[in-house]
Amino acid sequence: MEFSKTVGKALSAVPERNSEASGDWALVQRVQAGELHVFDWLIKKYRERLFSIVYNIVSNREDASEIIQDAFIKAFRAVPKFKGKSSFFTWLYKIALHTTYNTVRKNRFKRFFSLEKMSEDASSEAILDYLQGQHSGAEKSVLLSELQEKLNEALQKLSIKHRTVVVLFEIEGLSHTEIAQITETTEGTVRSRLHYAKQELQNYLKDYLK
Amino acid sequence: MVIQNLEKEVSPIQLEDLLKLKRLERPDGHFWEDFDRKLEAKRLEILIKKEPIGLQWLKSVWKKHFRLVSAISASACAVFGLMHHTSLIQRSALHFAEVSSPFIKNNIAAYVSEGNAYFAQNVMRGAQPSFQVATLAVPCKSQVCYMNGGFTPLNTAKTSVHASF
Repeated sequence: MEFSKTVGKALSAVPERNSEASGDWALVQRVQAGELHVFDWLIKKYRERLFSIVYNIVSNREDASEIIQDAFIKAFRAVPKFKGKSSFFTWLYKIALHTTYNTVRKNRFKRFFSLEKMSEDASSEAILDYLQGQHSGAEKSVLLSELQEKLNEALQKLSIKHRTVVVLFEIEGLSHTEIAQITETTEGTVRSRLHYAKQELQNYLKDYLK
Repeated sequence: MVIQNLEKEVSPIQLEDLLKLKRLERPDGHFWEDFDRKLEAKRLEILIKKEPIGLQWLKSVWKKHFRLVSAISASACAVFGLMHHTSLIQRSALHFAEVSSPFIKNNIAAYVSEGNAYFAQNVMRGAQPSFQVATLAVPCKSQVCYMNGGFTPLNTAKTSVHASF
C-alpha cells in the first residue's frame, strides 16, 4: 500500500482532459485559420506524453523520436480536416499509434533497447529501498537499471496490442473509455487485454513481485 | 521506524508500482532540442514540397482502393495490349492501306491497295442517312473497310459493306 500511495502521489498528475480538450479545439481552430505557429504549442504540449507512449511500446528512444516526428507531421497535414468530433489528444494519440504500428509492421525499428536514464526521485526511492532489501548487496543504481531492463523485456514479450493497453492504462493513466476510443475497440476488449497482459507481466516479473 | 520497516517487509510490490516507474524514464533537454530541430526541418520540407492537389488525390485514392485501382489498371493494360497486338497483325497483313477521312454524310471514298492491285470504292449516294458503301470486285488476299472508326480485315474476295448512321 505504501508504494502505491507514494508512487501514486508523486506521479498521478493526470491532467483534466475535458477542459484540456476545449482549449485544444480553440488552438486547432486557430491553426485551421492559418496561424501555423500555433501548432508548435500543441507539439510542445503533447510531445512528452506521446514520447512516453511510443517509447514504452518500442523501447527505443531513437525510434520513438522518429515515430513521434512522423506522427506530428501527419497531424499537421491532416489538421485542416480535423472536425473536432473527438478530442484533439484522442485524435493525435490515434495517429501516433497508427504510425507506431506501421513502423513496427515494416520492421523498420531497431531490435534492441535504447533506454532513457530513469530519474531517481522520491517515488522510486520507496520501491528501490524495498528491492534492495530483497536483493541484498545490490546498489541502487545497478538495481534500477536491472529493473528497467527486466520491465522492458517483459513488456516486449507482450503482443503490441496488449502492450499498448498496458502502457496507456498503467503508465499514462488513461481511462478504459479513452483507451477504447484511441485503439478503436470496445471497453470490454480493453479490459480483457489489460487483464491478460497483467497476468503475463506478473509471470515475467515474479522475482520482483515476491 | 520499526513499524515502517515491518510495513516494508509485509507489503509486496505490486505490478502497477513497477510499471509506474516507467514514467520516470524521461529524455533530457538535449533530446528535445534535437527533436525540435528535426521536426522543424521535416515540417519545412513538406511546406516547400507541397504536392499538387491532383497528386494528393491520386495518392489518397491509391491508399484507400489500391486493390481496385490495381485490378482496373491491370485490365486496362491487358485490353490495350490486346488492341495493340491486333493492330500489329492488321498492319502486317497489308502492304499499304489508305482510307479517306471518317464518313461524311453522302461522301465516302476509300482506297485500298495491296501489291499491284488497286481498288476504288464507289459511293452510292442516297438521300437517306442509311446507305450502301461499296462493292469490291477484284480478288485479293485481304481487304479493309473503314467502319465505326476502326479497320476490319476481311478475308473474302468479294465483299459488300453496309454502313448506316
